[in-house]
Amino acid sequence: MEIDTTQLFAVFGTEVKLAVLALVLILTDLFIGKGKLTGPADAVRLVTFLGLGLVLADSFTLVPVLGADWGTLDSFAIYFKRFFLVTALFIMGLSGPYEARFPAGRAEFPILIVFTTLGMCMLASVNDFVTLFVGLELVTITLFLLAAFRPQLPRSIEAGIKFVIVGALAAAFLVYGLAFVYGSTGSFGFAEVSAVVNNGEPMSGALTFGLLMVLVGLSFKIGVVPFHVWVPDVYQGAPTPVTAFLSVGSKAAGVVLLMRVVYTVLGPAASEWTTLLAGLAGLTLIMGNLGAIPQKDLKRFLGYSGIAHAGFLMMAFATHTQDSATAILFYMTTYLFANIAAFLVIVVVSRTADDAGFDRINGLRDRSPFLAIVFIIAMLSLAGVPPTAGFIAKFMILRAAMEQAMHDPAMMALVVLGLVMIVVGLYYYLCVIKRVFMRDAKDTSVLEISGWTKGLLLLCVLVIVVLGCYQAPLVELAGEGASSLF
Amino acid sequence: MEQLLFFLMAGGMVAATLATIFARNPVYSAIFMILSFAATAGLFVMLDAYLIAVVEVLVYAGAIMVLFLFVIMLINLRSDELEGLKVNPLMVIAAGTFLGLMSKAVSDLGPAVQSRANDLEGTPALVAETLFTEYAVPFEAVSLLLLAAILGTVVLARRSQDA
Amino acid sequence: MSLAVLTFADDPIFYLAANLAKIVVFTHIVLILSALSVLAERKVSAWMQDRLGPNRVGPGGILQPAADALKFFFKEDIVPGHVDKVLYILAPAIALMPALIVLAVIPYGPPLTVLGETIPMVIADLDIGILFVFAISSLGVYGIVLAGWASNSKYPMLGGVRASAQMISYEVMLGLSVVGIFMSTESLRLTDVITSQVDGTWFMFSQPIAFIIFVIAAFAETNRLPFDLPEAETELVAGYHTEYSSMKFAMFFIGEYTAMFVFSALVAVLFLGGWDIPFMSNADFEALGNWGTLLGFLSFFVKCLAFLFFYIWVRWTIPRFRFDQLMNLGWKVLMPIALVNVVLTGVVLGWLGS
Repeated sequence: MEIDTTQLFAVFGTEVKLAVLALVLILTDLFIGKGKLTGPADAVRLVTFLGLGLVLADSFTLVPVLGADWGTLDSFAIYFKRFFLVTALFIMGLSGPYEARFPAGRAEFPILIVFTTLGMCMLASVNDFVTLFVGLELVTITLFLLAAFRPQLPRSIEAGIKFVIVGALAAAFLVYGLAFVYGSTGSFGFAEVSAVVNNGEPMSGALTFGLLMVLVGLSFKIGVVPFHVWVPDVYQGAPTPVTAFLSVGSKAAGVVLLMRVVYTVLGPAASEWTTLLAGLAGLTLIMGNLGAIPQKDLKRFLGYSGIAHAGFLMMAFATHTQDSATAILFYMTTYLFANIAAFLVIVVVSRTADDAGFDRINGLRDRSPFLAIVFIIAMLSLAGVPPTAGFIAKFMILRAAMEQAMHDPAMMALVVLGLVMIVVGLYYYLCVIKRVFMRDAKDTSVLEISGWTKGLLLLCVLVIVVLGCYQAPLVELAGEGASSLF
Repeated sequence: MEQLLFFLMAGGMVAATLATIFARNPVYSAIFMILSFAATAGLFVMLDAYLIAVVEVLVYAGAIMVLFLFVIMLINLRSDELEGLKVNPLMVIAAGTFLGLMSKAVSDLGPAVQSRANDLEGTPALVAETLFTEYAVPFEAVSLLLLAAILGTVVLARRSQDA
Repeated sequence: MSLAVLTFADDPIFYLAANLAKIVVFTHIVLILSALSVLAERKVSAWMQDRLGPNRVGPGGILQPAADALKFFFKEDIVPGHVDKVLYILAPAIALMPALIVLAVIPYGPPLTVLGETIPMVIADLDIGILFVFAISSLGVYGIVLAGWASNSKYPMLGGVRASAQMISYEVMLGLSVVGIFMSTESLRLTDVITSQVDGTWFMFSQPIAFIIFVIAAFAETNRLPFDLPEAETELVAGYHTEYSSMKFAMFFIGEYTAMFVFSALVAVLFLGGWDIPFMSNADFEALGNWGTLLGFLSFFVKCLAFLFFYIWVRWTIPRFRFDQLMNLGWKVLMPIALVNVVLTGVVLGWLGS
């Protein structure tokens, strides 16, 4: 099979540009003078911002093209490519105030971020299981390195090692499953596998097992119970910008793949998996929400909150209608902005310290009213309180699930559980918010925030609030993306 | 003859892998793992996948396991310093479930795979051809992955030296 | 060149007999040559240092290897108390085996015709020839590493650690250096490499960079001076085989010299045209029939011996590298050069092809 190069560059144009950017960055690091005022690291940062910005701007000119077995550029892929590029830019902005803590790796940090973003963008376009696996490893392995990016800190090393072991386990499940999928269909292409899955006959045991293992492998990435155990430890130990990247980018990468597998490969056959997916969703909701309550560390807390959100995403997967796919796309976007805002606040308040205990936000009201407001809005959005974007997102998922629930008792139970868990979530998010107002800070110095950081925070808050009030354009965009999966 | 060879290789592989897990001494574990790779390579040869067989020996047995041994030797763990595996009922349940599902799946796979094994050919030319046409995208992605991994590893190694 | 190769299906008994004969003959030739090269080593070193060298046993000392062997056999086989018994005993065997296995894929001469059947003068003419060589020879390091570890004492351990680092590093250069050759022959089969050289130029001339890198890496892979750090006697007593005596020591010794022969043979096959004789073409060899085979056979062994002599010559001429110098040379000098060589070859081939 010959590959049409023009088509290849059309589909993977963004990735090629990112690869060029990564190489340029490596050369920048190598050649831009070490003795000059702007060290190589600053130069690399600048080039990264410019490059990512350009690629993002360029991604708005993308139009869906007909892909092939090796990749596809449908509106779903384009939606997520933009999503990942925006995430990467935010992470770069977020790492600004944090960077000083890994002096020796300052220049390499942005380069690795670019590589990870490249992998994520590639995942948005996958159309076969081989590219899926390789792209996923590109994302995961660079994240291993990033999680352990402060080897002076035992906790960062611990995070890195735990992540490596879990990542290896997940990859093992995935590859093992792929072997069975290939063995029973003779192909790695999504279309071919889907044709075998939906050929009218019941799926063979081997194929079911294979797809199940693929599902397990991907569940690790999203943090679905019972594959969630790594989340709190790694989130807590990794450097904060990396945690943010993990919670948004890595999770979204898992979601992208899961959407392709559930909606495209399983297709109509997914209805046989509803009970399984609903069960996982229920477990995840319970574990995430109850686990978050006793937490004392902000990053760990957001880890559990991330598991809870994974529960809602799984609920949408169990629903498997086009509406639920739209809801997932919307959900991920609101999650992106709320989470980035929350992590940015964490970076600022725990400035020089290595941990992010709850007492860091005590009395934030007095230290910086602006930060306090941003943090509260982010938390409310994560909790799903109107008029924030988080509310709309949860509402969309529940509405899609309700339609299914009319004729499926398992889904009904799940929806009820979801509603209960929203209330539980409200409780612990409010507990955190309470600290901002009610507790007094030990250190009462006024927090200084750079103009850049302020701008980023303002942007996040604006998006959260605006999407909460006027979400039609994004919903339409998400709907368009979702429709290309069906 | 072929069946005999198969059972020899497959049996050797399973036995070596079990020995890897149960050996008390990490050096022996590593050596059994090499044996297991060798047996796997033998199975690949029987499938006419010569290139994969050689790569299995060259990369896994010849390079990666040497590094494993290297690290084990430098850490120099003695068997009495190692904690034994504590068996937890959950582990048994998880492993049992997995085994059950897997054996069901494997028993289903039988005929489907046999019909396909015949058109597999593992000569370098054929492997190269698929690699550079059908799987060009993942192939390039792997090269990027390796570049990123090298970069990151250098950073991690350099900084732990400085600290 | 297409060969009507004898297969098992044609005539099983003849096939088995031919292959067994090949295995026995070639292995013995190589082992005897290895033993003699030990003598050569001592003679050449003596000659270089203006001494006489061994001259007591047999005419001119020619039977010295036999005397050495006898001595090894009759020495007490000591297994020190502090070693890990199983691996200690296994290690010398592991060190020797890969070198012997690699002999299977080396083409010693043009095909021989016996009773109307064409028998290739190689035990197994594999499609993946060179990769097989690298794969098996990469296992050779285990003998040294395990000997070092199982001896459970300081110097062998250091020798073992050095050996693993050194051999892994130089295996990379070894593999990279020959990529260019296979790009131009478009086959990994060693007989194809030779036949392409018989009718064309030797790769020594068309791939000079690869040749130099391969030779350097071959020295490092066989742990010969200037890269004999795993057994550097001035630093590590005797390195990984400090705790060995008698036949176990002899096995390391034979392994080392067999490996030297294997690498000499590889240099001959890959760069010096194998069985080629200048100004002869494949058609000439075929026209000469079995005499061609004999000529090729001799030519091949002359090249091997010449390179073995080079091995010895270098050993007694160049001082030992320091370990950091060894690593720097490998990773920072040879590796980039080898990569550039691959790219260059690609560019030239693409240019010639278009």
